[in-house]
Amino acid sequence: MESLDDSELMARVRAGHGETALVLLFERHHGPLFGFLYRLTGHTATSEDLVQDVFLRVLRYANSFRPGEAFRPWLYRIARNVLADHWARRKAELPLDLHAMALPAPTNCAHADLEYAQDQDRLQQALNQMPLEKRELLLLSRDPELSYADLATTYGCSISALKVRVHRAMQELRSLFFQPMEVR
Amino acid sequence: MRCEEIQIALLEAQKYPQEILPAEWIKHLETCPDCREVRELWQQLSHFPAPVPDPGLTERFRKRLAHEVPQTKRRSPLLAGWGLPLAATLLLAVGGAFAAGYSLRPLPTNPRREALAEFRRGTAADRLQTIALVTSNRSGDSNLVMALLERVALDPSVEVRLSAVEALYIFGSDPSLGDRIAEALPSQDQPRVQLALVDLMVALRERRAAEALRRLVQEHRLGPAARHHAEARLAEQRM
Ligand SMILES: [Zn+2]
Repeated sequence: MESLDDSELMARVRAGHGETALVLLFERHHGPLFGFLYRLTGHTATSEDLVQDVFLRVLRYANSFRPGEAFRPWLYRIARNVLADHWARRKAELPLDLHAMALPAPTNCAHADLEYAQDQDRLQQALNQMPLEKRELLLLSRDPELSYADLATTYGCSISALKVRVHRAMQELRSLFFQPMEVR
Repeated sequence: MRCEEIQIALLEAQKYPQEILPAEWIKHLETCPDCREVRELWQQLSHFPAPVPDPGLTERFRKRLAHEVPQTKRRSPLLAGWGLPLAATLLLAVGGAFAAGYSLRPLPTNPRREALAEFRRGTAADRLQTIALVTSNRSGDSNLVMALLERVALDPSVEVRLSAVEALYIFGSDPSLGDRIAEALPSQDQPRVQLALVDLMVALRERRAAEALRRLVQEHRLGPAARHHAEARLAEQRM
């Protein structure tokens, strides 16, 4: 079954006897999806729960997967819904725990590594200050496996409209990232 | 080229970093700190280290699946939770509409009129998308209900019909919906769609819908599968 592509595995899931197929899909896709969720929630345990929720919904709504459709954009569509429900449950958007988001300290503390780690940290902090939907859009945009056409489908707009939206989000991130550090 | 054009063009370039930028852009980037900043930021973003999930996560998922699936199998997904939140979720899964308060979807300027015309056009996939799009703006609109019922009755694709049935959950508060579905049910020629319509009527949890359904059963106006399904559902819900 490992040789089947995502769409073929989904056909099994749809047919109602696809638990092995679903676990295979999970194995293939849960890593990047976890990364995406983690960057948005800042919480490992939450992201692990949400990843599983997403795949349970894959099973539940398998009938809405159209044969031959690209699996990943569809999966991310579900992931966005799961996230939306997650935020709704939490009611207000609580400030992210910045400490929890801190990256692992570089093992080798050479100057360049340290600078790199600091930049990454600053980037995460800039992202954290952005509205959720823009943060999400930027994180999805950087995924090489999701084309802008895929994203336009996910967001229900034209490719050019989507690009303008990503561009605007980028401008916001840029002003947050490059703004001089506040000195108190 | 204006900076904005370059920066939007860079969106494509950031996805395919191995591709070489056109000479014209490289020249511009050399002289324009703004565009350079954007490029640098995309590079940072694409190198953002991805945190790795716990290696035991797949196993945990397998266990959760074994634990939860028997429960979901017992219930029809359409009945797993009553009311709008579920219907919204279904739509989300179908076409990528968004939950309230989380909407990034720009609706066309006159979404309903445009979409009503769109309902008959395109491939089955296009029509599914249209149904999801138009109902993401979920408020009662009898034209929309009629358009969805038309899809349920006439669309050549069973998937589109089923998706239109799902979309009708959004309009569960429309008092005439039960009657309209009761009218549509006996002439439905697709068994799967009949079952979905029975589920919808039960989900309306409305006395009139239940009565209409019971009448259809008594008058033998449903196919055997749909009749059996309706009897079971009516008994289950003690409607
Ligand atoms: Zn420029």
